[in-house]
Amino acid sequence: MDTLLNQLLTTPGVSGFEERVRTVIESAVDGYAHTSVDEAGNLLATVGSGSPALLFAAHMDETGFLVTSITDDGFLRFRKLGAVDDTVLAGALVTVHGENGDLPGLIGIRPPHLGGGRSMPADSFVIDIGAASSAEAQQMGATPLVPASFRREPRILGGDTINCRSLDDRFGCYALVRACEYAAAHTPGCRVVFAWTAQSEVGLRGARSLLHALDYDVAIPVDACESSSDRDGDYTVTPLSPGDGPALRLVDDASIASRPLAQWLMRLAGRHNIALRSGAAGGSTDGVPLQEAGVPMVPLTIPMRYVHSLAETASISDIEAVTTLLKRIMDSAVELKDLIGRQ
Amino acid sequence: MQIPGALADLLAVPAVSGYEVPLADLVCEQIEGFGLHARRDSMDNVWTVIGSGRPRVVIFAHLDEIGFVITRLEDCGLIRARALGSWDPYVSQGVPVEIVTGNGVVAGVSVPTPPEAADPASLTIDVAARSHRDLTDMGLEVLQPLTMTRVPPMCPGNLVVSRALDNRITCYLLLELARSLAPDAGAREGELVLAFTSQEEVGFRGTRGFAREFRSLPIDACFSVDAYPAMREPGSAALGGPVLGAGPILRRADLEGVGSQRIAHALKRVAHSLSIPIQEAHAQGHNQASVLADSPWCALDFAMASLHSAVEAIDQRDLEQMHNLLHGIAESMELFGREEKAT
Repeated sequence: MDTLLNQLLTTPGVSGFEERVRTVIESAVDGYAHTSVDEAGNLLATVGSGSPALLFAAHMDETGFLVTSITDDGFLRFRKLGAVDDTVLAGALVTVHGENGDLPGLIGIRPPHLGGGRSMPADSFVIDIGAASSAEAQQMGATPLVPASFRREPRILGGDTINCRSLDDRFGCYALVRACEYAAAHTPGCRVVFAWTAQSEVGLRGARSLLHALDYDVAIPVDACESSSDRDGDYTVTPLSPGDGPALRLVDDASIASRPLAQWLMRLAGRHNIALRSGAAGGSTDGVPLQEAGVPMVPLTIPMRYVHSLAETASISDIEAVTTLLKRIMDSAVELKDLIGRQ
Repeated sequence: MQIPGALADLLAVPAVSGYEVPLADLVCEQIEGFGLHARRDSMDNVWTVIGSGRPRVVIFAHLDEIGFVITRLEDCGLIRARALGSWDPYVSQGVPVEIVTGNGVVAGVSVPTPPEAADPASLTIDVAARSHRDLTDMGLEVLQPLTMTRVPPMCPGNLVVSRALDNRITCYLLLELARSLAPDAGAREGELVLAFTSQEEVGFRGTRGFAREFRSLPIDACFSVDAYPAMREPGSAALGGPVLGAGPILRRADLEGVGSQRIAHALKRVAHSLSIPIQEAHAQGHNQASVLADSPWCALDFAMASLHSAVEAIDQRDLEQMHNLLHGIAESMELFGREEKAT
């Protein structure tokens, strides 16, 4: 596995606490591009100048937890950051990012002999760091308002498939880094803004801030496309299997993408023999606030199964295909001038 | 606390019920390495006898862990499996898993199903295959076992956390006991049998086979050392019942009936002499010591939280106390002899 991808996948960074991921990306693009961090915590890099102005975006944050209080007997109550299904909580290994460093922990479950998960009230899941009292927990460095993330380890399944909890959207962050390196080496004939966004999973908050400083002609968020349900007969989504190539997410729960831009991307992919599909999915992407502001937008995604669970899986070749397509978009961006004029 | 290497080694070996051969091999190897004789039967029960004469005391651990076994390889590339042992769908769905093949481990994930719709006795696994042929090319076959992915055990706070602590923790303690007694084994009065049984989680099948082996031999005391499903959540200590960190549990009664008062009394004498706190309880489950018909039994347990999940947890202090208690039993064998009825 690529070292940078592995590093991005294993670095914790829940919504609002993306510092460590940002540091990894800053180090990765150091020497290629000048970076800045805006008030929302987005990491930005601009390469090239002129028209059109492209925005590539991927979100740094992952879903996780925020410790809200400590019980008298040392358990950490939390609120979820982002969409975390309760079924993912039970029996999970977590890391609490405390004031004194990282603490291993777990979210326990009542044994089946005592009723199992079914018998637990919804608010009874807590993080257990092995403390016996509130004082002990605080002494260990666990205090209210520290974050916690799922513990995870990337694994390769079947050769081309990778399983890791934070694939959404660290693969996108990775693709943007590689595209940024390429842009720095090949000076695109346009302005390209790379935005590694913050707090996407809690309401696209980082992406909403992108509009304050810069104008864009085209926005392409790079994200995941949940594709587990194609085998379940869910007719609201398009069947997309990992490994068959990336996909344009033309319709989701919060946007309908720009059709002319999508058609241009399909033609571009065809010219370069990149298998590119399109379909409908659930959820939303960082492109939503940009489209609402009038910027033509199409999410470029990879099919991903079991999103937001520990079983998250995607195809490595799909990730590489996205990276390649971003490079080709920059190479051919001058063609977008006509497209923008027509929109 | 650092996890003892010997315990980590035991935990690293997959041993689903009915598939205990690699672990039985390791246990035999270790016993022989201590200079003791390891015996093994056709069900892969392993035991060693230390000392000779009366009283004869048997202490049981079980080798197996809960898991699943492949039942179908589907044309679409998914795998179906059935549970071996008692699983809660809250912890088995949407998690990384491993399939143990003759050529090594194949990594996969369990497909998430909402718990209310999930069958606790079955599981669907995704190994990123697209066809039946893909699956067979990976070396997968019906009836191969699978486990939750093995991760190194960890020690948050006062806890020891791992998959398969039930009952690998007791296997570890019995091997440590064997190691310490081995140098003087030949001179010991009384016969201590340390037994590592198979298929406990699916109905004590190994123990029943072992019982036939010992059918003709009088047994003075029979101990099982296993896991007691304990709650570890906010406020649970106030509910009453055994808790982690308060010492080994003496299970006075369960669905097998009431344990031997004589042995319980002798055990408490040993514990008291060593200043080991004992929690007394009754349980809804069963214990393997009672399988030996006509043998007076006593069930000892670890209070274990999140039992039958990937985050089973015990308190380090209980580990130390149980270690001391088992050594105390071995050094006080005379207390456990039956009173022979006058004829």
